[in-house]
Amino acid sequence: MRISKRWVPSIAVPAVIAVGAIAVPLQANAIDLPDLSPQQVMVLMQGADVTEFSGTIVKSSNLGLPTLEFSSMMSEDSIAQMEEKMPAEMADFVPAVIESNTLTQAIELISGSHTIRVYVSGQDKLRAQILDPMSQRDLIVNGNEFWVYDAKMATALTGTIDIEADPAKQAEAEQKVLDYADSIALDLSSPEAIADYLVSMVDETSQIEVGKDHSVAGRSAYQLIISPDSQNSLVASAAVSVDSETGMPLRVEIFSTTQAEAAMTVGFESISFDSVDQGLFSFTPPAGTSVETFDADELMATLDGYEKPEGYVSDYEVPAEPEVLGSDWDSVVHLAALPTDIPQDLMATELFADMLTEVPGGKVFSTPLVNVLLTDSGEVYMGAVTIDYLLSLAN
Amino acid sequence: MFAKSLSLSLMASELRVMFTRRRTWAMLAAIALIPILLAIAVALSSEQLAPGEGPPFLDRVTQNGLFTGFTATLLALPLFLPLTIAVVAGDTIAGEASLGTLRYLLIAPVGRLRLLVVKYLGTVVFALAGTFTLMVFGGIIGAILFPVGPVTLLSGDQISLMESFGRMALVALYTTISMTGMLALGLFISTLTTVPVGAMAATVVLAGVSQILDNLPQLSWLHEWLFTHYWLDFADLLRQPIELGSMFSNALLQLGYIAVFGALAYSRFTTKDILS
Repeated sequence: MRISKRWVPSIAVPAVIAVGAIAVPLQANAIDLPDLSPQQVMVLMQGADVTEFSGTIVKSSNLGLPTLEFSSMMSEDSIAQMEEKMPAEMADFVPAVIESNTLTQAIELISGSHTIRVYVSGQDKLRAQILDPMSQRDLIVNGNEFWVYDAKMATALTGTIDIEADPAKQAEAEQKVLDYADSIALDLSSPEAIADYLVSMVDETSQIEVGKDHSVAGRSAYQLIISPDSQNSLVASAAVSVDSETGMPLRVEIFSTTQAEAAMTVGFESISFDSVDQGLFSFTPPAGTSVETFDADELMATLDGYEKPEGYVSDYEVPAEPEVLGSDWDSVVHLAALPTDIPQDLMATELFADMLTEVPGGKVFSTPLVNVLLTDSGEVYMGAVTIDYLLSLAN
Repeated sequence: MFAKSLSLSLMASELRVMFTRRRTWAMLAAIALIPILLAIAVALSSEQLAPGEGPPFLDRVTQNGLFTGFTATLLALPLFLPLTIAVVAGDTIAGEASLGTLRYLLIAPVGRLRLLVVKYLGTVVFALAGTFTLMVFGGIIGAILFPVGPVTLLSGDQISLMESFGRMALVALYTTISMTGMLALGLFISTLTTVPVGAMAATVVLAGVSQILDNLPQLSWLHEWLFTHYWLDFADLLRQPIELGSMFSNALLQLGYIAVFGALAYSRFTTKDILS
């Protein structure tokens, strides 16, 4: 039977789409910039002086951790209801109850994928928006005033960063804001911050080279590839994409020795250097928001003057000061004993137990970028190094 | 080519037939009931929802009635809206075939391609009517039962009442665009059979399967190709500045589905022997 030519569109259309899906990403690599040495790219990057931009940062990681998806449609209550109503045979289909606590938030933060819009104007104006599904978290910094807003919970926190003549005090205040942002899982790391850190690691312990010119967020970029010399490091290489025009780091990809695809990627999906609408930096909490005021000085004063009642044992007390063994890529954090609270709770959970593997002399929590060794004697070693190296340190 | 082959009178008659059918009005009435029942349930319930409790936006309804439309859209998206859409899409060709009217339609000097295009556009008009029903009735019942004022967006910014209506229309439009790919899929399935119920059921099932696949992290490479992938991203239109990225990605994806399944429907329908 002769096949009618009327079937041609049905074959042609998917073919065109397939070609487009392959060709468009390839175009990103068809870029040729004047050749620069690694040192020149580093100078270009350190000379970056962009104080006015807006863009969308996407972070994603591939760490082999269980993805904890906080379903936007389901609350813990509704999952509990589902469990009651479903026949026992169908229990497997009930989404696991993921209690949203600090631990799960931390895992979600490093294992999930996030889209963050940033607006920066001048030295002292910033707005970062984490675009959660059906919700959003905002950080607004305008001069010495800051706001943190959570749309889902309808909460806001405000305070002032004391910019006095004393720069040390200012740094301290900024650090407190960052700590706070961290505690509510407001991730503020940017390609720039990570790239700066990576470059600070570059010295005689690393190889550095310039990779292929490519395109990131529609801008042509140099690629700086940093690979540790150390045999013990879990980091195979880190690739920093540097904007060829402004020197601004646009993307950082970190590759692990244990897998081919990037273990972590943080980069701009789009970026614009046009001036930013100043209205974005003024924030008034909407009606119905519970607003909390954060006074760093007062908080510090309370903490300093706080005396523990007799016999009081803090849940979060770390029984031993962490100590750093080795240097650079081989740095390992050593704790003489487990922090009392968090890990105990944690090890009771099935989720965590599944992530531990037994090794001679202890248990290992292993990810492509970080290994944590819990020895049988209760010591903790953790670092971006191989399990063998951790074991050799422990013995 | 399409503009030439599109006869306005055929389109008008298709819409006339669709909107004189009792089934169409029954489905639109059922869609309108979603925001109405939702608002009444919230109003009667003595318990005030704490922020973050229940489905997204539901806790906002009592503060601002305009949120009823958004909440209703969100609740209708996984099943109810696709269900009514699938009924209309699955009926396009198979319905005429089962009634034995397809023959007569094609005896009149109407090209098969033109008939397909008109049938497809008719279903898009229904989808538009459905999504706007959710918003308009949500707005009306919300205004009756709750205070109405400037809407607070996800970024914490407030927008004027006029702009709020603009965003509501935009969300309804976004949801209509979200449905166009599924409508093309339904149109193609409808050319495969003369049993309209089969085509409707197959279309709904595919919408369900697509949503389930979209929730499996192991298939993350597939997610951006699923026609349901961007459905819930209408929330991006409720941010300030407005985020249009998902609107474009969604439109592009739906266009892809329209192109692929439109072409398949064309190939199938123009080579098929019309026996009834």
